[in-house]
This record gives sequence, structure tokens and C-alpha cells, in this order.
Amino acid sequence: MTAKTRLREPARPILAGAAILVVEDEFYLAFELKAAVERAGGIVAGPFADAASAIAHLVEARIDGAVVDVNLGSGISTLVADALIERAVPFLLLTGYDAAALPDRFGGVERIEKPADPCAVMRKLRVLVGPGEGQAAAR
Amino acid sequence: MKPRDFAAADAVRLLDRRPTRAPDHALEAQMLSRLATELAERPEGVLARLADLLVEAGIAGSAGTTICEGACGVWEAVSGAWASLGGTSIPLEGSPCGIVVDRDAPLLMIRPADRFAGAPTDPAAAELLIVPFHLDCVPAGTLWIAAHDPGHRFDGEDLRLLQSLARFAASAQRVRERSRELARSRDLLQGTMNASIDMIQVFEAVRDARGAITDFNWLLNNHMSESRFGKVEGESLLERNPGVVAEGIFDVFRQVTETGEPSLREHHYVHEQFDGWFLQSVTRLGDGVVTTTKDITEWKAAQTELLRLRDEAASDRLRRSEERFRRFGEASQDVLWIRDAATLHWEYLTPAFQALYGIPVTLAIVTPGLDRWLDRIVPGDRTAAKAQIARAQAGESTTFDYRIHHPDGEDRWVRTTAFPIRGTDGAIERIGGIDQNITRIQRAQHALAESEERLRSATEVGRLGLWDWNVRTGHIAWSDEHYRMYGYAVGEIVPAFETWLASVHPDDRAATEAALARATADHGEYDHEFRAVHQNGTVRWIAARGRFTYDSEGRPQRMVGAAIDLTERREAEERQRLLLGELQHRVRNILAVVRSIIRRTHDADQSAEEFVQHLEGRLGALARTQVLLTRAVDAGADLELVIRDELDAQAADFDRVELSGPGVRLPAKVAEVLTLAVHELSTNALKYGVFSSDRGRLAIEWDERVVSDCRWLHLEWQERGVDMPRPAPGRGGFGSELITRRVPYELRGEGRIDLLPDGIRCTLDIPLSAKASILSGGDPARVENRK
Repeated sequence: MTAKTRLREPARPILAGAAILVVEDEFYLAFELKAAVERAGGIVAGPFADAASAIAHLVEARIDGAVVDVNLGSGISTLVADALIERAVPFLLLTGYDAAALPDRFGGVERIEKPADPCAVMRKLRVLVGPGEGQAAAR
Repeated sequence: MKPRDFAAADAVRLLDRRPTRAPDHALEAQMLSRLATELAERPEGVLARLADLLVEAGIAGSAGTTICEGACGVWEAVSGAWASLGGTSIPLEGSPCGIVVDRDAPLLMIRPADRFAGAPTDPAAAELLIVPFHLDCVPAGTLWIAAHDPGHRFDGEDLRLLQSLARFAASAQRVRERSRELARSRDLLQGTMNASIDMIQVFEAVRDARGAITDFNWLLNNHMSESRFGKVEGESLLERNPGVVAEGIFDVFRQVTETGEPSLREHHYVHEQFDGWFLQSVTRLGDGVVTTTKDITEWKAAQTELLRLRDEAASDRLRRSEERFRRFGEASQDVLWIRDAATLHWEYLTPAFQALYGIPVTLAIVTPGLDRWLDRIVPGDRTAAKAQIARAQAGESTTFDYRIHHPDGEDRWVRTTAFPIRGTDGAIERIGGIDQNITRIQRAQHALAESEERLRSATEVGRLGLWDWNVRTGHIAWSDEHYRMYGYAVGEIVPAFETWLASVHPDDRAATEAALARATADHGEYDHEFRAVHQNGTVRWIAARGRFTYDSEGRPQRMVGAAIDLTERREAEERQRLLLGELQHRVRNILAVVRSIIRRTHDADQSAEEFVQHLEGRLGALARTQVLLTRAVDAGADLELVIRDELDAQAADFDRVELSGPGVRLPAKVAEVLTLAVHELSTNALKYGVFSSDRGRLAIEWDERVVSDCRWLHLEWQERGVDMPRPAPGRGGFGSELITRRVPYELRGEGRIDLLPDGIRCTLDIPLSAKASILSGGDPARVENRK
């Protein structure tokens, strides 16, 4: 963990208390995101490498926001994204694709193109889920 | 006065009482001889001669005969003093003759005028002696002598002589009557014959000693015949008319004479005085023939004239008909010809021949057979053309095309129609023909065919489906490709608007109909892409362009258009789009992974040199995987190859390595993770394990297992002969994390590292069920279809 502490990270827990679903099939990216969310004060659901386990969790737990990779190893999959839309959970799409590759209904969804800086992802998440509990308490 | 009143009964007795003389046989013989001569020469004059002889011999002053004709007696052949009374007719009743005939006995009357009022008185008779004569034993008349000298007395000798002469007179009378009958009959015949305008002739055969007929003699000629021949009775036929031999008439006569078979023949007889036509019938008569000969010269002439006139009229009509035909022939652009069916010589050829074939008609028509014509035909067409003429010869009408070389250098196409012309007996006498120059038609047809072929090839090569829609009738014609485009066999269905619309994808029907409606509303072009459901159930993309034509009131009448199947292009575009997306994804993912690897490789405890070395090793392994996986679209990686590559990269001593396991093809993701895992294990083995000492040995074993329908790879990395303990490979570091955490996370597998007394053991269980990837040859359309 000593290596990680050297990385620049937010001074405040900007996602304090927020439950963030992480869906990313790449091990390293998934755990980097997890670490970043945790550093930002968020509670990570996952990370999940496949849509089925992510959706299974989504059905059972409260989720405030999500970071979702649209390609979970077998091309574009919008299953998780669709499930999130259905539950009105705000989410970021993490993608290696151009916007044009995504179905039209995701036109209004926030996207972050890979390779992404975890800090930039956190900032977007914060905007998306609103001030977390920790931040609210700080006010 | 009644006969019994005469003292006739006394007549003979009276003579008996008179002195008699000796019979004068000499006189009797002399008189009979003279009468016989008379009878032979002039039977008519026998009785008159008899009377004359009696008077001449001084036996009586008058003599004569009385012939009974009914109730009268006619004085015939009266001679002497009463000669002037010849021909007088008196009633027999009461007359001396009547008495003689009645009694059938001689009578002597003395001074008859005293006893018979009808007796002549100038001069009166002193005595009258009458004897009867008989015809067929019946008294038919009397012979009498009268003495005018008062002192003359008839005696017995007179009676005897008179009776003798009376018998002769009877015979003479008989002869005379017969002769008269004969003459009447002959006159009748002659009259009949003379009444005929035909020549009637009777001939008698003249035979030689052996009985053979050598000639004929004329027996009879009628007037008509006489007018031509003159008197010919008894003459020789051959002498008068030797021409009969040449004309066969003599033979006919002979044949009819011998066989009795009549003959009827026409002769054109130009011999002797004759020059004409005769119809002759010949019938046998006795030993000869009777012929009737009709002069039919004029009738013949009339007949000939009639025939001539008829022929003339016919030939005139024919000439006029031929003239008309000739004019047609000469005016015709086509060549009309007639050939003899057997020799194939031209009998008729119209002037157009020269223009078409470049040979003068006069030259062509004298050349025998087909040669002149065949010479003009291009060699390749000759045999066929000749065969067609043979068909016409055999009775068939035929039409055929061929090419000819014209002397002007330009070839021509000719179409010939040849047909048999039959004679009245049905036999094929001639062949008629019409040669037509069809060069221009042929060229136009060729041009059309070429143009059609070009269009057909173009539409086939271009996979263009054409349609032609008669909007008013609803009739639609599709090109072959149009049928195929919708999955039909050519002609399998009758194209109709409804059928077509039904095959348009339900989602696209409304838009497609709208596009058609827009085109008709704007009078613009129809240009539309839509999906159609192929007969095999697949969805095809079709691009169609068409144009309506309109009537004067602006209503669409017809629509012609072309369609092309865009499915493959669309799929290729889609695939390209997906591939591009996947490429972006991969590149960005790799960069993200590289970024993570860099972070994880970085360790405050190690030198920069070590950092670079580790990083290079890991990026190298990553690069090798990518090389393997991007070699082909659905490239997997061979497990053993992956292992050897990594060991080789660490310059491992393969003598100490034992690899065993079946060939296993690794899916891309598995290959990527496994390569890095083997890389980390190898690096560790080089630094601390098997390859760090001379004794160490490495066994890598693997196999495939099927667990609940899923193939799993089981792999063991077993090091032996290593001095332990030593640090675990990247303890809590990169390699350990990779094996124990990344494998479960990314591959849904299991990874374990055990530290055993003489070396480490790594166990990996990884499912091989390949997740479908855009790069693994799956159908990219599936992604789209999930929409």
C-alpha cells in the first residue's frame, strides 16, 4: 500500500458514504477504481467482472451511483447500463469506444473514455451522485 | 250373158270334128326358143313377144293375153289387128276370158261379136280361141288368138300349140312377177341407199385359189358414193383405191369379212381423189362387206377450229397472267425464281438477282444446277443451304437464312423461302423460291441482341434486380435477379405489388410505402433502402431506385426500376464499424492495463534499473500475447507454445524442464493472463528457483477436464530440487497477485501457490469456454440485434 499512498488523491472524501457499483472486467482497472472510490470515502459494491453478478447485486443492495465498463470481455453489452436506467441509478460509462458505437439511448449518459485517470472518474462521480454524507456533514 | 249360154262346151269337140294337121314341133320349138331368149333378156316383154310370134307365124290375125286383176281382165301384150287395144281392161264376168278362167278349159267362139257385146269389131273376129294359163295351179289369165279371115278355121294343132305356149306364158308371167317384185325391192333399197348422204358401198371378197382374200369387188354404190366414185360396180377396190392398203382399210375389210366383227373407225384419207376425214362403219355382208362412210372433214375442221379457239383463248389468258406475274417479278426487290425440281436448273429468275448476288441474270440462268448460287454463299453456310433445297425437292416448304459474299466486298444476309410446285399429277415438277435481302434486319437484330446481352450481363454482374410495373393493370415483370433477390426461383411466383410489400420487413413497410407515395406525388424519383425478409428467413437490405411514368392527367401508369441487395455491404460496413470500435477498445484497454502494470511494478525498495527490468519483462510478455492473438481474426494461442515462449524469454535450460499435456487452444483472454502468469513464474524461477541452482528441475503438466458441461484447464507448475525457504514469487507482489487474484477475477478460475520443501508448486484451474469476442469470428450482428 505504500506505493499507492504516493499517488495524488483527493484531499477530502468527496464520495463520503455513497454506495458505488464498480463493473469492470479488467482486474487492475477494477481494483484501481475500487481503491479510488474508497479513498474518496465511497463504499464500493464489487468490483464485478461480469454483468450477471453486477445485476444480481444491484437487485439486492442500495446503489447511489455506478461506474460501468460497456465491454465486459465479449463486445458491447448494455445489460448493466439498462438495469441502472431502469432503477434510475446515475452512472458513468467507462468505454474504449467512440460515442457513435453506443446505442442512441445512451446519448445523455456521462462517458469517460479509456484509459481514464481514476481521479477524473471520481470527480465525475461526485457530480453524478451529488454531495455524499460525509461532505454534507462537513458543511 | 252367162257362161253357160256359150256353146263353149262344144269348142274342143268342134275342133275334133275339123280336119287336123300333124303337130308342127319345129315351129313350136322355134317359138319356145325365141321366147326363152326373150325371157332371159327382157322378161317384161315375153308376153308381148309371144303375141307377136303368133301373129308373125300366121296362126292368127290378132293375139294377146288377158291377165286377171281382181274382177277385171287386162288385155296385155296384144299383137296383130287388135294391137291398139292393148292395155284395155274389161269386166271378167260374162266375158269369154271370164268363162275360160271360170271353167279352166279352152273355148272356141265363132263370130264372138255375135255372142259377146264387148268383143272388138274392127276388125271383127271370125273365130276366137282362148286357153287358160295358170300361176301356182290357179287360172290367172288367158292366151288367145283371133282369126279375122271369115274362112279361117282353127284346128286341133292350133289348140295344142296355144296350150303349149300358154304353159310357157304362165312361166314367163311368173318370172315377170318375181322380177317385178325383185325390182321393187331393189328399187326400195336403192332409194333408201340413195337417200343417205353417207356413201354406202357393198363389196364382195375376191379370193385366190387357196381361199385367201386378195381384193374386193364393188357390188353396189349409192348415189353419194357414185358422186365420188362414178360407176364402179364390179370393179376392183385395190385398182380404184390403192390407198386403202396404206390406211389399213383393206385389212379392216378382210378382218370384218372373216370374223363378222363390225368395225367403226375414223380415217384421215388423203389418196386418189380424196382429202379428208371419214368415219367408216364396216359390217359383213355375205362373203364381203357393206360399208357406210361419212365425210366428217368439215366436222373435224370445225372441231379443230373450236379446239384452236379454245387454246387460243386459254393461251391468251395465260399470257396475260404471265405478263402480270412478270411485272410483279421485275418490280420486286426480292428475287423470285423457279427451278426444275430434278435438275435444279433455273427456269425463271427476276432482275433483283443481279443486285442481291452481283451476278447478271443472263449468266446465272445458263449455269446448270445450284453451283452459281452456292459459290456466292459463305463456305460455312453452304451445306445447310444445300440441305434446305433438298427439303424443298422432297416436298417441304422451308425458310432459311445464310450469308453471301457480294463482289462489292460486303457480305449480305439472305433469307430464302423455297417451296415445291406440283404438276397436275401431284408430282413435284419445280421448286419456287423467294430470296430476300435481310442484311439490315439481321444487323438490327444483332445490335439488339448484343445490346440486350450487354444489359443482361451488366444487370447480372451488378446483381441488379429490375422490375417493370404496369400500375394500371397491376402486372409486374421481374428480371431473374429480382426473383433471386427475394429468395424465389425465377418465375416461381407471379409478381404482384401485395406479394412484394408483404416481403418488406414489417418495420420498414410504412416508410417504403411512403417513399413510393412521395415519388408519385412529387413526380420525382423513388430512391429508398429497406429491409426485406428473404424466403430463407434472413433479413436482406435492399436499395431500390425507380421512376414512374404518368398519363396526360398525371396519374402514374408505369414504374420501371432497379434494386440491389446491399446486405453484404451493410454487413461489411457494420462489421468494419464494430471492428474499429473493438480496436479502439483494445488499444485503450491495453493502455489502461499498461498503466496499471507500471503502477504495480513500481516499488520504492527497488532500484530504477530493477524497475525498468521488471517492467520490460512484463510488457514483453504482454506484447508476445498480443502478437499471438492478433495474428488472425479468431486466433487462439497454443498452451505449450505460450509456455515455451515465456521460458525461452528467460533463457531457461530446457533440459531441466519437463512439459506434458495434450494440445490445448487457449481463448484470447486466457492466453493473455496465462502468459503473464508463466512470465512471473519463470522470472521467479530464474531468480530464486529451479534455474537459480544446478539441481533444480521443473515439471509442467496439464490436462483438460469437463466439469458440468464446461471444459476446464488444469495446470501444475512443480519445481523440485530447490533450496527452500526462499521468497515466494513476488510475495504480495505482482506475480502472486496475478495468479491468486486476477485469475479468479478475470477468468473465473482458481490459482494457488504452495511453498513445498524442495520448491514451489503453482496450480491453475481455468475454464476454457471462450467468451465470444468480436475478434473470435462471432457474428457482430448479434450485438446490433440486441437493440
